[in-house]
Amino acid sequence: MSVRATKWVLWVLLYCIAPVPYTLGANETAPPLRLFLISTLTGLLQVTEGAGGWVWRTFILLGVGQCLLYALGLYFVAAFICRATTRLEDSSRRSLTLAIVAVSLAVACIVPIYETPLSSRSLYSTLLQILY
Amino acid sequence: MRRRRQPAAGVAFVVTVATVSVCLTTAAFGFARIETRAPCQDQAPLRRPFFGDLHVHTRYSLDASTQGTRTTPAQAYDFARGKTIGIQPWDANEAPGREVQLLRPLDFAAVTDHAELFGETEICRTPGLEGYDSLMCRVYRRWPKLAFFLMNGRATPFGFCGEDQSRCATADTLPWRDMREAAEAAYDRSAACSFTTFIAYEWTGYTHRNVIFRGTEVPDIAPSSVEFPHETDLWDTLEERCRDQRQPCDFVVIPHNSNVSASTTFQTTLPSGNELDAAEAKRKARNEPLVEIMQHKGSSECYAGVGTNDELCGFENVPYDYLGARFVTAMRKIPAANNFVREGLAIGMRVQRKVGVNPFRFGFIGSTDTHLGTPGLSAERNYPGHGGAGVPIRDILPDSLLDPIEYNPGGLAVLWAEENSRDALFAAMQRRETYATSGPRINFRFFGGWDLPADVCTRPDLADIGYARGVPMGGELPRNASAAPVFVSRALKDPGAQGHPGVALQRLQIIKLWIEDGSTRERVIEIDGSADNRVSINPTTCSVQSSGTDSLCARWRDDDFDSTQAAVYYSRVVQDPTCRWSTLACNQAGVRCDKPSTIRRGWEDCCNDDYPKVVQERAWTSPIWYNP
Repeated sequence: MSVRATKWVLWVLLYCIAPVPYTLGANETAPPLRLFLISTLTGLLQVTEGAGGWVWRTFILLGVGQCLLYALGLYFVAAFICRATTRLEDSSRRSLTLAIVAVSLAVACIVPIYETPLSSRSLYSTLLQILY
Repeated sequence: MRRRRQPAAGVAFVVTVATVSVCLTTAAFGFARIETRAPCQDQAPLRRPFFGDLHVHTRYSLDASTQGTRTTPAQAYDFARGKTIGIQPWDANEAPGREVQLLRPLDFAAVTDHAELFGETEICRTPGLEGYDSLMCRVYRRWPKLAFFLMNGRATPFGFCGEDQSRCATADTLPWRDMREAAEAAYDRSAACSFTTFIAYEWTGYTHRNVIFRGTEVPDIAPSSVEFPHETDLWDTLEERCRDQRQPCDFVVIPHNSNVSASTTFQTTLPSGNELDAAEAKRKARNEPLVEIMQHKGSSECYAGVGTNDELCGFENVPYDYLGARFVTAMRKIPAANNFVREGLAIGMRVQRKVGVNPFRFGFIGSTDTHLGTPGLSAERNYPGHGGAGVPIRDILPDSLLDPIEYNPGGLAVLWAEENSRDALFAAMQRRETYATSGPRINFRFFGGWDLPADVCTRPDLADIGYARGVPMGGELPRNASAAPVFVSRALKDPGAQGHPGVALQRLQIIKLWIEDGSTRERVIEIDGSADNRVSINPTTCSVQSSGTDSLCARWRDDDFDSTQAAVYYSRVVQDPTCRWSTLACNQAGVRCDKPSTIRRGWEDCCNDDYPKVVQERAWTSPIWYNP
């Protein structure tokens, strides 16, 4: 696996599972992916329901703004991690990357590391719960 | 004396009979009986305190239903009468995860669901209604908290309501009808007079208000802040619609949570930007005779250190002045004094000096503001949280405090009335003969007059004397330029319930407010009991060593009285300290602040020193005013 591919895999991984703090009416600590989903949903609702107003606009702006910010920030984090793997063989890099992905996904799916008050289900969620 | 409504045998005859009946019952009881019902067996000509809750949300409120509250108004009234109900979280078989029951039933209650979004909530909750399958309703069911923010924050009508909004308008009437029917069904019209209900709802504008109707003649649709955004619009429509009714459609409007109203509750400007004039001030005083001084989201009496040196103001203070700051901590700031009822009373006196009418002549009540449909659930022990702006509990009981640390179980409304009927209780609200408690059922009297005898506290006819030679709480002293006013305040401790004895009383106070050189002056007078009564409490075990008393009573004369100055007086009694709900919950969860390993995630606030471990539950009488 090339360094470039590794960087993008890590970036996607971080974007999908890294718990980051954001605010959207309530303060949550969850992956940017969740923020992206909520923002997209709100945008869709605005189109289908025509329910405008400053709260909706603020929601969407806040959501999109933070999504972009974290996308950029996590890209640099992924690039930084990749830099440490440049000396590795492609096969080793692939193994390491897959291991990181597997372990991270396992932890995120098992341990409730996310704080998700917007769900109204549980204050703390695993990756599976927040996507449910 | 009490008459059932007669079949029309002639309009003049009916009018005459009704007038005579109203006059006779008014003369005998101090209230007009206009409803058709059996006479109450239990009469108290000198009135007795009835305990209840006038602020209750059930599944019809958006902020309750999005948190899994399924309690119907009928179930809420059942709960108030002592029955057990199940509440969230719900398991896969729809069984409730918790059951709750009051230790003692209430005497009265009113379900006050938010009128805003009645229709939208109903459509999203009810399969089969047109709009149920809309994207918004899907989000409501799947992402309820998100839906709560979005649905509350919409500025234009929803598409799923239909082009002409007819779907939501039709659905709007369903919850309101059920609330009215539940109130009617639960009202005990028998001679036992065991339980009274009021048809009511909450108008949630930029400040929040509960509207309580006297009887069954109410508007077909609950006027909400969507159509009537300012309180004057609300009064306009209530007055207008009530004029169309066959019977008097009396109502009272009760503002609440002035503490988090961003200084809007006691503002003296009209929507037009003009200052309150005499006519509007009079209308405000007539329509809003009461204010809710204590509830789930904090005490609204005063704030420790903000415009006051009163040490007892540090009670259930919420450390922000705007409800939105509960969710966005960056918006938090300590509330200004004009968010609180004490300053509101002073503002009222200032306006009176200017325009001749006091718009803020408020009597006091407490209530819970429960969003679980559990009226009167104001005990600190086993507190399940009240939902709403608190911690949302839907499918899983979180391993954490069940309410934000700054919130509390709320209080009760107490009305002094001759009997437990709508007419008698409503009259108590209108004449402000009410008081608030933070939960305990303290019996609290307060009279003011010019010649209350020195031995009034030891006399068995204290109430007789108080009414005959003075005015009760909520009243106004007649003018007198040559004497000093005398007050008598008496508090009897809550007797408690079986297995749950009441807590002893610690001290009794009178708070006097007056305006001097344009500034508010206050004086807190200890009239009985003492803070130094050697009470001790261990917050780890919550065991109390108390030397408090079962009753406190004192007569106090205001020797500094200046008959040319307006003044207002109210009384406050506090119990011995007891453990706060959060302390009880933290102890039960095994949290020890000296052992960091026991402080699990979600329980960090157990060791937050900004919040007290113990509280002194209390009661506040409605004020007595003097105007020169």
